[in-house]
Amino acid sequence: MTGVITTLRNWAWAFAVAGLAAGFGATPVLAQEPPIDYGRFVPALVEDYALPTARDLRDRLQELEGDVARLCARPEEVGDAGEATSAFADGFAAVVAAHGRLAVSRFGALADASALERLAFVPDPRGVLRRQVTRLLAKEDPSALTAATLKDKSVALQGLTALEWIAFSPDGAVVLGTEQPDRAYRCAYAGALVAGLIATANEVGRGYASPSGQTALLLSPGPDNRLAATPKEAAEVAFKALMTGLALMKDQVLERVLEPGPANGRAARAPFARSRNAVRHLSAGIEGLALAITAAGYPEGAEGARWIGNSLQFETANARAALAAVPADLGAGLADPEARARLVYVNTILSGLRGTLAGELAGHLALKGGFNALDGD
Amino acid sequence: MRSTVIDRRAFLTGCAAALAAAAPNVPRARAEDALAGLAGSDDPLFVAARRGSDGSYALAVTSPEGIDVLTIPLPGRGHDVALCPATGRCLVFARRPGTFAVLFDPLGRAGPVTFQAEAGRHFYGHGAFSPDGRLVFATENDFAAARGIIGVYDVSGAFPQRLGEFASGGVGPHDILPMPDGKTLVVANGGIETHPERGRDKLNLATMRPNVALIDREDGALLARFELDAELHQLSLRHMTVSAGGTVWIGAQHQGAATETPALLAALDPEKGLRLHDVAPRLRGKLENYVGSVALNREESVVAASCPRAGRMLYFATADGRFLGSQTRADVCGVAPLDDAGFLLSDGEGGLLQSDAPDTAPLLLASRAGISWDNHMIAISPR
Repeated sequence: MTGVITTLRNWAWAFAVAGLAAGFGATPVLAQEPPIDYGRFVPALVEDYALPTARDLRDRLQELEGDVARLCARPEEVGDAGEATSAFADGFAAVVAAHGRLAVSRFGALADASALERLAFVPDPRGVLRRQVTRLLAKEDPSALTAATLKDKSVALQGLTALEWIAFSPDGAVVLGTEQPDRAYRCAYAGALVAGLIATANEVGRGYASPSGQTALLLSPGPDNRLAATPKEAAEVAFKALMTGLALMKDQVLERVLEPGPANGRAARAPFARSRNAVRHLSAGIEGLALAITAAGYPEGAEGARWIGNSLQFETANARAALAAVPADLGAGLADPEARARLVYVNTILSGLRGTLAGELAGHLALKGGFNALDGD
Repeated sequence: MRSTVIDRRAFLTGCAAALAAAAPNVPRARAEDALAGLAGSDDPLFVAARRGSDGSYALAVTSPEGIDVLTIPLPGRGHDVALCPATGRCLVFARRPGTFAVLFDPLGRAGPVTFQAEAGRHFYGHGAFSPDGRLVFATENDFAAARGIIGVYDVSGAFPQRLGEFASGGVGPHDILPMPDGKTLVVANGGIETHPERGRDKLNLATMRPNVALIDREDGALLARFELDAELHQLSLRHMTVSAGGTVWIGAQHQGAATETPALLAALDPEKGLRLHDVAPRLRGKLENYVGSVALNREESVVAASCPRAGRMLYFATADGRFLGSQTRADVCGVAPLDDAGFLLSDGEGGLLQSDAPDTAPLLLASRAGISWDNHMIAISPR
């Protein structure tokens, strides 16, 4: 009887996380299944997803560093300015995609020392970044011009989102390196930003490769481990972080841009819309979610959940195919009924995935979640 | 209410000066950036306990966007923060059955001071300052006698001194707040007997009798005690907020059968007694019988109640207790006034959200990976 009650409680949490507090759909799993090996999930997640994904981000950033240097070289050294501009735009887009694939996971080294926020300051619905960067540019604050000193400043001033703000105009054109009165300062700041981002990506990679911080705690659960006393708790922490990443894509990106209102204004709510990379970032996040869940092997963890792995691949592929047909200019996409319908379709897919993962998969694996909800006062 | 108005210019100037000297665990430049970001707005700062990515516990002073201004490591999981209206200092208490409390200055003007509960006592996570800031009253458990008490501390010196204690008027005192008259304390005696040797086990569910007590803080005299009807004796009255007019709003947690779904918000008018306010019928039975925190907005027109187990926020009109609406958010619990009408919400997944209206989805302002915000949050509200 206790087992039944526990299972039902787990499902209550799952429904709450899935935003399905009213409860419907699948029946809790009560059939006898082999014991779940909770110890397999986090090591596989780190080894087969986090490490290569963090490495990829670092590699893309290192390429971008050269792009920034070319863009900001003296005019006589630039050569073909148009080529340098295109190379930077392509390099930035590649970094945004790499970031999307990694950031959705939100666990381990990403969660340590505000690394995720230092990589990109999102969401930012009230324009903190705009205010802080504008103030920085007006003051030409020298403390933002080296990676070492920039690291001590506001996280909003350190990330890819800050680089996007100074490098792109509101209409998506590359303005970094162009003849602006503050060209030299912007270029020096851009250089510091990329150097700092490389350092942060290296820090994250090291945190996964030579486990430290949260990664180490999740890889070594035990009675003295203050974050995860058991392998099951470690698996829960990582799974919950992934579900939060999924919820952010659905609730804070798609649903917000699909609200009624002027298309361009709604588009600006999505991360990286300014550089016309919002759709790319969203698609990469969906790809990253599938990569992470698959690498961790959560669906393989319980006999009755194996179908979820196939469903995840199918649904995320559909979502990414739909996004591939949405214009990079999200404002234009929202104004176009056909493209908007594709975004609505992707939102529906994510909603279904949330129910499948946070509801059914969590139920099959008996994963619990919550901090205040689990042990309140 | 869980907010204190302080002079904005003095606050920001004080912060900048103090942070130049010391800001534990937050780089000075980052704290200054956060404060500079506040200079052009009417935003408050927020103070709350939290768990970090490595499972450690801390107290944080943060902007609505989650940019830390100050963090102080805690020896264990914290619970609520009391704010002194006279000095601006704060006191964070250990979550029950913890025994530590940390007195600190949210401007970083003085280092934090940690002190312990008396032997034979533990804290319940809540406390209140006297109007002049000299005394602190903490809800405590005399667990050998299964008796709720209020510990009295003098915090005017370099180190807090325990002056004595008086009865809380019930068992399992939880939240405690000063009433607007400056003389009376209101205590939510949750009614649940616990003992540290039994962890967080509830030992008297069959016989529990929660109440809300009004106590003279100067002599500990019990001025009044309010109970619900006998059939609601398992409705533990736990968290409160008080309006300027003296109405006490109380969030409850039902310890009875899950099939019983009593109203979870009560209002106490000391002249008229307790009155329950229920949600719309469609939500009854969907709240997991649990309210985690309550707060008023600045203009005191709306009282918000969080239901972390159900993943839901509830809103009621203070004028008549009418249910206004609800929002869903997994693991939401902390709630504090953000501006005249709205609230800032916090959750166990690092989220800070702006709630402007009861029937629209709150706006996510921050989502800090690895952070779990704890049950309660207070606003330091410059005007």
